Amino acid sequence: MIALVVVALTTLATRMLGLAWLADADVVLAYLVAITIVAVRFGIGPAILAAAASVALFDWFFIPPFYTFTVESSRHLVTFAMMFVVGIFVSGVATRLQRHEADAVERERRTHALLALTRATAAAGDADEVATSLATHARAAFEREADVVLGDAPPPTSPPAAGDLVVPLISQSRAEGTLVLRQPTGAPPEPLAPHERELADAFARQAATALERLRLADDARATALRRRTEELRAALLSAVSHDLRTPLATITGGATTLLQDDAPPSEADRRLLLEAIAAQAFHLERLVTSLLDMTRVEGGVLTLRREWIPVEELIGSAAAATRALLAPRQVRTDIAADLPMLHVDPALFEQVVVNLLENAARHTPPSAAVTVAASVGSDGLVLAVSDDGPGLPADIDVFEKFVRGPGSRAGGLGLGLAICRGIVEAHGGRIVADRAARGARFVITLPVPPPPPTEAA
Amino acid sequence: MTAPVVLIIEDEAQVRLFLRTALSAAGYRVVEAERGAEAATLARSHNPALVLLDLGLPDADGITVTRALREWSTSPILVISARGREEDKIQALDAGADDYLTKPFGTGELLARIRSALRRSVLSGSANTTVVEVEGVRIDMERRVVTRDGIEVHLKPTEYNLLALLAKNAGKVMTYGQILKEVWGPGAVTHTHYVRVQMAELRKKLECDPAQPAFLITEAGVGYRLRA
Repeated sequence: MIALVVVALTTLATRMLGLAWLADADVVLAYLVAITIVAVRFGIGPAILAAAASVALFDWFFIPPFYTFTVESSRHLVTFAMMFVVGIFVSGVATRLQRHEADAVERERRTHALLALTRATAAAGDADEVATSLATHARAAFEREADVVLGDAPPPTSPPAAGDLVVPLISQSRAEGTLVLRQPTGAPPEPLAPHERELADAFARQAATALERLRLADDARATALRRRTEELRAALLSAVSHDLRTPLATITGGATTLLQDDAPPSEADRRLLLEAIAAQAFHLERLVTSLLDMTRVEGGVLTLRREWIPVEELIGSAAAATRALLAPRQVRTDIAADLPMLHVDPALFEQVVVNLLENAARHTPPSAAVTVAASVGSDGLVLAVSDDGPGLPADIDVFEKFVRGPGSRAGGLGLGLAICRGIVEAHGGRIVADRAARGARFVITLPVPPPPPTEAA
Repeated sequence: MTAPVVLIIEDEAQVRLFLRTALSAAGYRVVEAERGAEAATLARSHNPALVLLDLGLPDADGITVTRALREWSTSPILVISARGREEDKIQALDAGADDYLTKPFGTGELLARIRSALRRSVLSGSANTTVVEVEGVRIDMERRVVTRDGIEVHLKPTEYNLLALLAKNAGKVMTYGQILKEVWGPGAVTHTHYVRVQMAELRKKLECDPAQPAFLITEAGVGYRLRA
C-alpha cells in the first residue's frame, strides 16, 4: 500500500515539475529512486510492487499517447523492461544490504550476551551461582522466563509446556543440567528464531563448560584433602603407636618382673617398679583421653551443650583439676570484676583451660609462676593463660596436631593445643599464642552473647 | 566391732579383683555381685554399709539398681562410671546415689571416698547436724546464721538456702537438678545458671579466693559439693 503511495507521490512530483524540462530519462531515474526507497524501507515484496506500479504510471503519464497504456514506440517497451529489471535489481541489493546490517547488529547483540554470560559464569564460585547467572542472562537475552536445573536428571520446577525450549547443558564429560526457556504466557506459541536457537545452544555450552570446570576443581580439592588426611592418618598412627607403646612397655615389663618367681626383685625394686607401673598407667590414660578428645573435635560430632557459667567457676574447676599436676607451682588468677557470664559447653571449655595449664606444668620449671587472667576486650571476653617459663619454640605452629616442642620430655601426643583450638573455634572464638610475651602465653577471645534471662527476683 | 560390709556390683572380673583386694586390705568385708538382679538379693541378705555400683552393667542400668536400693536402704551408694558418660552419673546421683568415681581411679581415692561416705552416713544417722564448720565459716542451720571468722555474713535468702542445702548434705555431691528442685522449686530444673550465679555470689562472700574455692567445690558438669 505504502509502496503504491510512494510511487504515486513520485508520479505527482515529477508531473508537477512538469513535462516542461524533465527528459524521460530523468523521470525513469526518479522512479528508480522511489523503488529503492521502498526496497530499503519495506523489503523486496513491496519493491516489486513499486516497480510494477512505476512502469504502469510512467506509461500512463509520460509516454505518448498520454493517459493510455497504449505504447506507440517499441523503444518504450525496452525502456519499461529495463526500468522494471533495474528496479528489481536495485531493490534486491538494497534489501540484502539491509539484512546484512540487521544480521551484524543481531550478531553483536548475541556476542555481547554470550560475553556477559561468560564473565558471570567465570566469576561464579559454585554450581548454583552458575545456574543463577545462566537463568538471569537467558531471561535478558531471550525475553522469556528461564529455569535452570542442575544435575543430569532434570526435574524442572514445573514441567516444560508446549512451546518451551529445553536445552541440555552438555559438557565434555556429562550432562551438567538443563536450561528451560518458557513460552511467554498469554502469547500464542512462537518458536525461537534459528539464530536465537543458536544463541541458546551457545549459552548452554558456556554454562556447561563453567559447571564442568567447577566440578573438576571440586574433585581436585577433594583429592588434595584426601591425600592430606591420609598423611595425617599416617602421622597419627606412627605417633600413637610410639607414644602408646612406651608406657605399655614399662607396664608390661614391670608387671612381668614382679611375677617372676625364680628371681624375685628386692623390696626396694618392687616398690620402684610398682611406682613406675602406676605412673605409666596414669600417663597412658591421659594419652588415650586426649586421643578421644581429638577424635571428637575432629570428627565434626562436637555437639556443644552450652550453659551459662561464670568465668571464675570455669577457671576454678580447671585449676582444681590440675592442682596436683602443677604443684609446687601456684596458679594465680586475675579475673576482672563484673565479667559477663560465658555461654559455653562447660566440660569442653574446662578442657581447654586444663590443657593450657597442663602445658604450663609440662614445660616450665617448678619455680615458674602460672597466671590465668580474664577481662573484657574490644572483641569480646579475653582469657589468657601465661607462664614465665622458657616460652614457645620459634618457627612451629604449636596448634597443629602432633606438633611438639623440641626436646619435649613429657611424651605427650602433641594434641593438647590442637584440641584447644578445635574447641575454641567450635564456640566461635579464637586462640592465639602471644609470641611477644616473656614466657608462654595463650590468649582466647570469645564473643560475648547477650546475657541470659535472670531469675525473677 | 565387726568390719563394715561393702557390696560391689561390677560385671568385669578384673575390676572386681582390684576392688576386692583394695577393700579387703583396708579392712572391709566384701560381698560381690556380677549382675543387678543378684545385687538386690545380696543387698537384702547382707545389709551392706556401703554399695559400690558400676554403671555399665549388662543386665540392668545403674539408675534402676540405685532406685531399687533406695526404696528400702539408706546405705551410701558410690557409683563408678566411665569417662564421657556424665549423663549416667548425673541420673544415678539424681536417683539417690551419694557420690561417684570416674574410671580409671586409684586405690587412694577410692578408699577416701568410701571413708567419707561412711562417716557421713554415721553422722546423719546419729544426730541432726545443725552446725557445719569449714575453713573458718560456721553455718548454724538452727539459727540461720552464717559467720566467717566469727563475723556474721549477710546472705540473701536464695544464697542461704543454697548454702544450707549443701551443708545439710556436706561432703555429698548435689546435682544441679537436685539443687534447683530444692532451692528454686520443680519448675526451674533446667536453669543451671541460676545455681551458678548464686554460687558465684556465695563464693565471693565466703571464700578467700573465689576462683579457687577451698570448700564450695565444683563437680564439673555435675553440680556442687560442700567439702566437709
